[in-house]
Amino acid sequence: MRPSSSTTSGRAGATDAGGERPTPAPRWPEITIALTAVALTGSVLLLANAIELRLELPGLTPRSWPTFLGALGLGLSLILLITALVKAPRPSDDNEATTRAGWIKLLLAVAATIVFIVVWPLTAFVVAAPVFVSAVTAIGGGRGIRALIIYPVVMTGALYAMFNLLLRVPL
Amino acid sequence: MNPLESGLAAVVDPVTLLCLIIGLLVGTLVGVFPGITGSMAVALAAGFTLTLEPVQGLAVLLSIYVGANYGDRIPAILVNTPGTPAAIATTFDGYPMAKQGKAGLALVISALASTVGILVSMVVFIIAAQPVAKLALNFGPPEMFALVVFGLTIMISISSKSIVKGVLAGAVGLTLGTIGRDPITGDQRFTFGINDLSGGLDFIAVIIGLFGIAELFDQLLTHREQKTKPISSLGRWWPNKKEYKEMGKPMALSTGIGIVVGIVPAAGGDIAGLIGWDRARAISKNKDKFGKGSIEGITAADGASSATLGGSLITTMALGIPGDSVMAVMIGSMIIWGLQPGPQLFTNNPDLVVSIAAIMIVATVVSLGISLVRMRGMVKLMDLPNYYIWSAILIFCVVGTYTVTNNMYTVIVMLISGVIGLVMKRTGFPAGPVVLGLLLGPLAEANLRRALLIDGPTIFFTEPISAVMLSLAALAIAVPIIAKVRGARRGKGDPGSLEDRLADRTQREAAESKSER
Repeated sequence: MRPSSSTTSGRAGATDAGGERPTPAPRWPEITIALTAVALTGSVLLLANAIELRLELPGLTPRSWPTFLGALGLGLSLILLITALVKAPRPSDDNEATTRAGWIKLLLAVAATIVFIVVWPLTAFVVAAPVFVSAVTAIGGGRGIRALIIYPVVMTGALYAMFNLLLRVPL
Repeated sequence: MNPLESGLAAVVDPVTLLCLIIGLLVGTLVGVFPGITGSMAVALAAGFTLTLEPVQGLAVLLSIYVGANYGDRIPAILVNTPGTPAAIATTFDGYPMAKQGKAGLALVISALASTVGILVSMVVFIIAAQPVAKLALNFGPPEMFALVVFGLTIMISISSKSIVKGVLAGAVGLTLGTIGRDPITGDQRFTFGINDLSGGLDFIAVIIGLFGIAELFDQLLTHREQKTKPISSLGRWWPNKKEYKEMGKPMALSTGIGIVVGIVPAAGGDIAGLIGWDRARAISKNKDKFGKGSIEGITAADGASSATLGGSLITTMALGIPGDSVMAVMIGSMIIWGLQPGPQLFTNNPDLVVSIAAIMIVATVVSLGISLVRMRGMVKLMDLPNYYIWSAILIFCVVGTYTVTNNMYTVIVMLISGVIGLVMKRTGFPAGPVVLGLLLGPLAEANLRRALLIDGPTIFFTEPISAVMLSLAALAIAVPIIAKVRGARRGKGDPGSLEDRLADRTQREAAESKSER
């Protein structure tokens, strides 16, 4: 696995094929981010004002702090939006480039986790967990009996023993 | 029994020692696998340790913290890839040493420097933590509010490339902290009639999502097969007399730097390692050797990054403000055990403070022993395919979160936090301020309301401690903005976060140093 820090990760996409001129970055991602932030923080502000108070106390009420945070967030989101509209975006060099296979792996892993969360309470941990581990291993690229059968069974056994027997937490 | 005796007795308990060994082994493994950070591992382990006694749980978490600090140097030296960000500066001289057939020597020097760094910083913790806590005991609501604002702004200024996005992330964290019952009146806020939200968002679920799931998802999204063959010839193991002598000056300098950086809220081993390497180079008579396999370079990098551990503990335990992201997770776990880190800890649970210091020291000494065992097995572990690690992390995240409340709702919160964390990571919003805001938000709000109710708004500027902290907080936000504006005027573009600027500068210097050869 590669390192997680942005300071150690490879920086992809910062230059064009010649390596001289930075690739112009599209404007829409920053505008979308800013618009989403405006919508979310605006909602916080509205919801904060709608908090029902059982008692009217002197000083700050339970509404005040969330209202302040909502207003602060909305102000900052508007700055983000104005900056995104006015300023030319920098070439994105912070994240490693995604891959098509990566998106498929991610969506399948999220789907497998949701299915596991639904199925686990309906069956039993020792039934659902090995299937889940096997599925995620396969999504990650694992193949063969060792990766898809032996490893999931051993992992489930180890987790079951640790929680049910050692920590006495029922799974 | 006095607190010293009872604190030590709790640590020498066989179960605690077993927890410590397990934590060390897990921590060392975590360090060896690049991509699994200490905060991710401690967040995952937090779910597992909540059923243990506090000292046993702390033994697991603190020894993962120490173990990861040793393990991360192994890939940094053998494959030029830091196991965690704290080992970035180790690669500058560690890998060149390994290429020269001195990998064994680099590993031993790194382990010795780390050990001295941690042990000296723990001595400082033992001496300084109680007086700091005593001072903080006098803090009233305005000072406590100012302290939270100070901690949050420092984290934002250090970790954020965009200050606006950093402050927005902090505001989001503080807003998440308001979900549930109001701390003073008990009124419901943002609960939408959902009973599970009355107690607030589960902190452990959110941090496992933001630090564990988000990182895993990002790796799934961007992974490309690339093999770097580890250096297998370890060569000579122990330093000679001349080499021990060479280690002295950078060791002393970097340990001091590491302790100071560790005390600064949110500044961790990555920043300390880079500053330590840079300063040791500046005062060295052999500047030209830095970046080419210098013993002084690797000593300074590892001494500084390891010495942050004690400094970070001082801020966390004496003030209740996390010294780094691992400590943020630690505070979350301690709160669940009913322990509130901060000055009260020293009066209410002095034995626990003794236990924490003892665990750190024992874990460091045992880690040194593990590090000196020839690590050919560890090298082989780096070849383990990613799919094993990904599926293990995912099931650990789900099961670890479930055990916090035995409720699937917590797992859903974790998964949503993971997806949000991924979006934040890809769009340049730092996760640290969200976590800190969520953790310290209730403390900030309660103290703000108390201060305003008792003394009015002027109290924040008439009380010297709160006035100084709020001024420093304002500076922490203003200075990066001014630097950015000046950089833009000079046509230098965006300078990035402090972490990025330091890493870029030192990496450039190390590369220049190599090319001069």
